[in-house]
Amino acid sequence: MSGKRIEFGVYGVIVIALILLFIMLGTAAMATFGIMTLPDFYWPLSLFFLTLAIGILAPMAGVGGGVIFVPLVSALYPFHVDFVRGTGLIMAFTSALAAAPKFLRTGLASLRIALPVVAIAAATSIAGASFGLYITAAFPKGKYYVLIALGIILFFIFAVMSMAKRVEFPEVNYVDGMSRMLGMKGAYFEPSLNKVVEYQATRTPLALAAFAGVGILAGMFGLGAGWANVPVLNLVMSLPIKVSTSTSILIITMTDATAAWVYLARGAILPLLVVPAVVGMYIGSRIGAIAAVKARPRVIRYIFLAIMFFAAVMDIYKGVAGLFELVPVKACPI
Amino acid sequence: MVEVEVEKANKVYARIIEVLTIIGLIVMVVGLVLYLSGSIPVFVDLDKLAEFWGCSAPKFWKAVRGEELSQGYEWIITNLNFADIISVLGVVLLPIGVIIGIIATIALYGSKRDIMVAVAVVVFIIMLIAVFLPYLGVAAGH
Repeated sequence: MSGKRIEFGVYGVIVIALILLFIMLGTAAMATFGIMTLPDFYWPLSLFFLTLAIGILAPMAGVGGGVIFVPLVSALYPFHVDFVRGTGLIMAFTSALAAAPKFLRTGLASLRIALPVVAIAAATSIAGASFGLYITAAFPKGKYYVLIALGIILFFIFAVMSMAKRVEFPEVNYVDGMSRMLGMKGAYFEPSLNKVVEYQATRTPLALAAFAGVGILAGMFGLGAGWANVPVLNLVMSLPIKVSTSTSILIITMTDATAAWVYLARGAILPLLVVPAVVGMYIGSRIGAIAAVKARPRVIRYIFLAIMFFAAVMDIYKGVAGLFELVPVKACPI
Repeated sequence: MVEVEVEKANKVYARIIEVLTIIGLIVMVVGLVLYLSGSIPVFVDLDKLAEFWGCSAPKFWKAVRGEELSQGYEWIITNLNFADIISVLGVVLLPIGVIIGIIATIALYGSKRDIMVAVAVVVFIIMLIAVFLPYLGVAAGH
């Protein structure tokens, strides 16, 4: 197939995914504001198409799908935030599990770097997941506190994603003792340079402190943690950007594995929500990964950032509206 | 493309999570198909699910099952004859795959007397704490 045809096909996929995304969000927003009523079966079906679209577009925007799923669905869909976080966590977890094996086999991700990070981040993600569920269970309006906190965190993520620099091949002038002792290094073949790139982590203690905070947020809100993992691995530990994104995915396989037990034990996993979201994201991210190799229009990243901004505003609005009973927010009937 | 030498622990962990993820996904989807088809009994009736999915997890279970779930995994283990719980079992297989992967990593680093075995053991212990947290009496919420 000619290059022009492939490019045309990729842009076609992007346009379809964007249309799908806006239809799903538009109808959900209209239902939220009482403009239209949707049948119950619509919502799980909508989750499938929403995650399919997010899965296609996220690799082109350079973000994981989890960070956008939880804020959007908790703002616009009728499910309780407990189930949205559980679904978001399993969805991000499955995506990471599907992608990590390839990175491990090519040297782009390494257990030698991931395991020390996980030892810290997994412990704090359990604490985060337990605390998040405690808030909604212990306080009658806990759900609204979580929504407001989620909106505020999303503004913070928005700022990090808008401003964080990416360094393709950071220079390492000094290797700390922990990195040296644990052998936190590796190598991968870089096609753009046509050579094997060797890397070694540095400033490990500082990075581990940062990962402790990331683990709490990831567990508490069921967010994927790639938005925070990648800058820490790339800018603090001085790992090449490709190694940082791949190692972040490997880390997520283990931190989400610990947080998943908390949601399972509390019954915060509903198959009717989890399966459509997981399958949609799985299919979408496979299409997105192929398309991202051919084209990475900058506009997709801006659209994603705009959606994140919108989701943050909606979460805070929904939280405040529920807390002060400003407008009737569809709530639990008991 | 130049082949880069990759540690055996990385390859083994990759293989284990790959296999368990595929099995987990299949079980999840089969469970959901059975759930929607109504061909075998369901743990949560579809109508009730939609009526109460806006409630917090404890309130939801009280509404659909008449009582809150006990802390832990009994609600999964003792109800595997229900279609929707089969789907949940698929979800359970995912973190189990990661735990098996970590155990394999411990064995491989241990056989080489590599210091990484200590880190892998710490990760394994944290994962065990996560699994048994509901039975340690420290899980929040109840």
